[in-house]
Amino acid sequence: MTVIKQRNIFEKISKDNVYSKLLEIFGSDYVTNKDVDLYPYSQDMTENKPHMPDFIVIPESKEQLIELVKFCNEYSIPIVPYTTGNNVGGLTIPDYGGIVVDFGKKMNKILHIDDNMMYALLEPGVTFGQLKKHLEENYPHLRYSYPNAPPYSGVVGNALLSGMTNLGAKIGSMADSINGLEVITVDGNLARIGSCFYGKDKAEDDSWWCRYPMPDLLGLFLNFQGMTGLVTKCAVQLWLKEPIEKPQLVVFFGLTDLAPFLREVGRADIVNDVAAFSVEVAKMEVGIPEPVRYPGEPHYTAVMPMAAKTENQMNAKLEILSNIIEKLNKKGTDIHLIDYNEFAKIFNLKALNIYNLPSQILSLHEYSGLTWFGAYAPTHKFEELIEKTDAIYRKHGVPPFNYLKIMKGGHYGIFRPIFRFKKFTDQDKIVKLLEEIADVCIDLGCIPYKTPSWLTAKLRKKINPGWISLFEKIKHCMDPNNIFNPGRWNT
Amino acid sequence: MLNIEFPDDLISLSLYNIFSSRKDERKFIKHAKDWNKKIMLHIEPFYPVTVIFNGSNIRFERKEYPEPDMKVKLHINTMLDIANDRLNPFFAIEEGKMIIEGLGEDSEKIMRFYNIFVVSMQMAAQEPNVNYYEINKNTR
Amino acid sequence: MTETKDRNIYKKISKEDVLKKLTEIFEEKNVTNKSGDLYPYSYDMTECEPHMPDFIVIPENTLQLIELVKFCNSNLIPIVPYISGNNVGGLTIPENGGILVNFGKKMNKILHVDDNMMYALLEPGVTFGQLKKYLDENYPHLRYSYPFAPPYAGVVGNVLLSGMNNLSCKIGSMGDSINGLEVITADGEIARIGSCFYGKDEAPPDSWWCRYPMPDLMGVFINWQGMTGLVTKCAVQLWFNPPIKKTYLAIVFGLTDVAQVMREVGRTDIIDDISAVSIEVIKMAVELPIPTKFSGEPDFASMFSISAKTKNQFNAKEEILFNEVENLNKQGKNVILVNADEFVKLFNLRVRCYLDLPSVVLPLVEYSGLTWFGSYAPSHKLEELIEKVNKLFNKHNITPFIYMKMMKSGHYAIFRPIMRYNKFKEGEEERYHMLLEEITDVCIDLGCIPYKTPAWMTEKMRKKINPGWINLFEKIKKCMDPNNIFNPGRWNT
Repeated sequence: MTVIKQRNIFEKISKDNVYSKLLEIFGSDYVTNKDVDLYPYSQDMTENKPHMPDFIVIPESKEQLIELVKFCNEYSIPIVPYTTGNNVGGLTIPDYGGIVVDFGKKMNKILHIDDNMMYALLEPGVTFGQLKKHLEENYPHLRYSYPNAPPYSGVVGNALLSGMTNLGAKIGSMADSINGLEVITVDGNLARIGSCFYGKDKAEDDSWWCRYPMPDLLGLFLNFQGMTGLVTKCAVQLWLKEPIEKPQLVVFFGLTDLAPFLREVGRADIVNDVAAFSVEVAKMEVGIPEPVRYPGEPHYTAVMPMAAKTENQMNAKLEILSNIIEKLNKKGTDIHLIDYNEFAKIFNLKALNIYNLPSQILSLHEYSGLTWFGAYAPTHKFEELIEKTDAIYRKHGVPPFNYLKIMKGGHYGIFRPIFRFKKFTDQDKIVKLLEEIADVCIDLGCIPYKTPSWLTAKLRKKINPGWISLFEKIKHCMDPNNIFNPGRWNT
Repeated sequence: MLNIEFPDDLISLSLYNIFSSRKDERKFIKHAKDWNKKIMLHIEPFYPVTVIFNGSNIRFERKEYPEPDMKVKLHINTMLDIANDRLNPFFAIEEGKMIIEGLGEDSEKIMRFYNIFVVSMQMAAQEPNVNYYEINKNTR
Repeated sequence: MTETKDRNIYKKISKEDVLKKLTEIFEEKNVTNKSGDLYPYSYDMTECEPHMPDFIVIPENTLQLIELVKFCNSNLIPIVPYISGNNVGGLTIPENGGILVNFGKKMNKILHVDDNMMYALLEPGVTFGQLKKYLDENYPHLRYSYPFAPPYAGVVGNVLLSGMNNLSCKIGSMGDSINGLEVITADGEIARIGSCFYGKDEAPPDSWWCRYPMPDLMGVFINWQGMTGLVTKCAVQLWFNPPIKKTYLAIVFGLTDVAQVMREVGRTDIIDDISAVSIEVIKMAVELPIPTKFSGEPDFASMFSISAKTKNQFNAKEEILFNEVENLNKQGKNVILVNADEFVKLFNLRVRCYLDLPSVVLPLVEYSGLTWFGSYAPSHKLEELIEKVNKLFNKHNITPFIYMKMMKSGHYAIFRPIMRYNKFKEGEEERYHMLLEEITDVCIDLGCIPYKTPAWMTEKMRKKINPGWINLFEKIKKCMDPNNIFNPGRWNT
């Protein structure tokens, strides 16, 4: 059983009084303080230290949340937002106890799909699977973009934390896909941010179409891990589904061949996404528990969703892709292109899990523990990143499990060493490995996203003091009593 | 020298632009001066315009003149094809892409029309300069 | 001569002492308080109220600016950033006097172009023409994206104010193109924001590649019109420059039909830029001062720019475009697609000023006054916007000049009625301002959100915006600039 870190909240107001107030706001069906209910929220799949919350509440409306925020601010009670608990970063572990707000159970409606300006207005609890199903059934010509994550993880969390998805090479970070937010700030103020800001009480459903051009208050909630307020609505951009899809598999026989490929293909602006994995991952996916790469096997493979409006456009894209590979191979790489669907049929249909997102990537779910060093990365450092992390994996006797992407037409990359482990036996070993890899990557300029506090503590040593000042100034301005997810970024 | 009246509708403005670059050119003057004809030009999908050649003056009227001396009808893309040498004007007539009434057997009319309209368009299209400020100041 | 609105600054510290301090920081040749020097900065091409600054300074580096900010903050002296004065919104008119900081003269270096991750690191004074020339000469395989603005207008101002450029159908608002900023805040601290944030004192030039994924402090400087701090460096994304490029002109008959054309073509996801102008605008380019649209003439001309790496890719895109236009015509629209380069050669080369950006847009610069209602617009309202605004232009007997764009493959649009006028002719400014106000009301009512907003416009907006947003906005402004020294007056602060 985990120990609750006290902030001495319950000196100011008794736990019983808090409980009474919560019942008053949410109703007895939607408040709990029973250990058995609290326990699942005290930890996640990562190695981050668990901590019990004091209460869980399940809100139904923003009015309830406004009351909650006002109450918590008065008594300095921490509030931790929770959607589905699938973030790989310990972000919903209530480091200081307090109240976990579970949006996932009831505030999970798809409020509006705008066909013309292509966006979806969502409550925070909407999952990827839910959105995909809704679109397929009602707006089959529209699509969202999905991460390598299960269908039951949350859309809004992913966008607010700059997630990367299977349109990443085309559209970049999901943070650029947010059109508008409705938020509750610490004084119980409800604010609508973005083009939806017109209208004293309400915004029209068709007004959530753009983040700009007013002063960009949206930035105050992006990547802040819930530290600045509670998000109650979020509008995300959708895209037209292109009728012709021909996903490709690329195999790389040289260890660092992937790097120049990512850079060149990114700039060519022809693929929707490039999701590259070390080959051990492909083997894990088909059920080999401790896979090893044999000589002669490729080092990396990449899944590339490609889509087009017409056959001619697809053929033109494939031609450009082939030319890139030919050019690179002439310079000494060993890269090959295979039709992905055909490959999966022969190799193993489980391989399709990595393409048909959102999905449960079996190799990740079969273990009780999952953690990673997920980072935005400078693409000219890919070679060095691959080489150095490879050496560290080998040193620790763990199969390399690296995941790389190229984003927004080649403007930046993603580098993500992933670790799956048996949570109750191997955790210490993995933590050591993770720290070593984090140090190397940060040194090479990588910037982790969804950062747990031990990682932000490392970052703080490297970041310019002006930024830290400004960050703390904003945090203090937005949340003077530090009630919103305290502890994140070592606040 | 020829006088070309500055018009204010789109099609006439184009014709003005095409003719202006040649208005001091001996060859052009030879064909246009004293032709004294009314040529109706209908560039589809736009409206018909009548170009009036009167002594040393050329002016444009945004209408179908009753009983013009010649009527020419063609699509804007056909005009661009002819101007950019992708389509021979005579083939254009043969294929029905350019319809001309009133041409008859008058070889002088044919020659003048060709030299004033077709050649001018082709010259304008082939002109390598794309900087308006390098054009002869008189024609701006 | 305009009058300096006093904030009673010079009760706390005398003007002479301020001049002395400025001379100490910037050196004598880079400081002036002479009326003759101040006058050109007191007004711009718009109808916004002029106001004299008290001083102009020309900074050379960030250290000077840090000293300036600290000094101004302790003495409550307004600071107004200025690049080239070409914004159409009165944003550099120092409404409360104070010190105007002219970045355009010396802090105008292109610091670094990163070929691999495709970005340019710039000082605030870099102009479009300067960047274009630099890229054409040194990195011809890379391109930036340019607005409907002259070559001497500033790059950094345009991105910080969510400009819309000639790749915007592909990439959206320029606000999304910023990778990093270096800023000076009111307490004189210098902060690097974005992926360049690593490194206590300096960031390596190859580290300015992304805005995310750290807490998005950049939002505190985007669209804030200089109200939250001084930006001293900005990294903007570049794009690969494809070898094959072509622009089409779509001539549209039917006053509001162009809206549907723009929406449908935008959604094809193959166009780099979609802009449309009312036909009178084409005529204005050929020096017709008050052009009229005659019956039978088209209503709008829309420009579609396509680019491709290979001939096959280009043909495939062209095929998609042609199919789309064919579909539109089958649905009853009347759209003719022509090759823009060929058409312009025949029609008039002056129209190239709309195509070859950045450029001196002739019909705009030939008049002394220019103002507009520039806004981000909901694309399903474009028909209504065109109709209503057209009526207003006609009501006031002013030639309609409507400019529109489709952004980020159809996710949102730009709607911008523009007015050019004789600034110094009796009664003209009032007349045009009246039209502008009526247009503003109609457009805001239909959900348009103006960018680069002068204070009279933000006043109207404040009546419509939800109070939560206004609270948050004022909270942040107060937090970032408690003494209101940064461009006071903007957004009615």
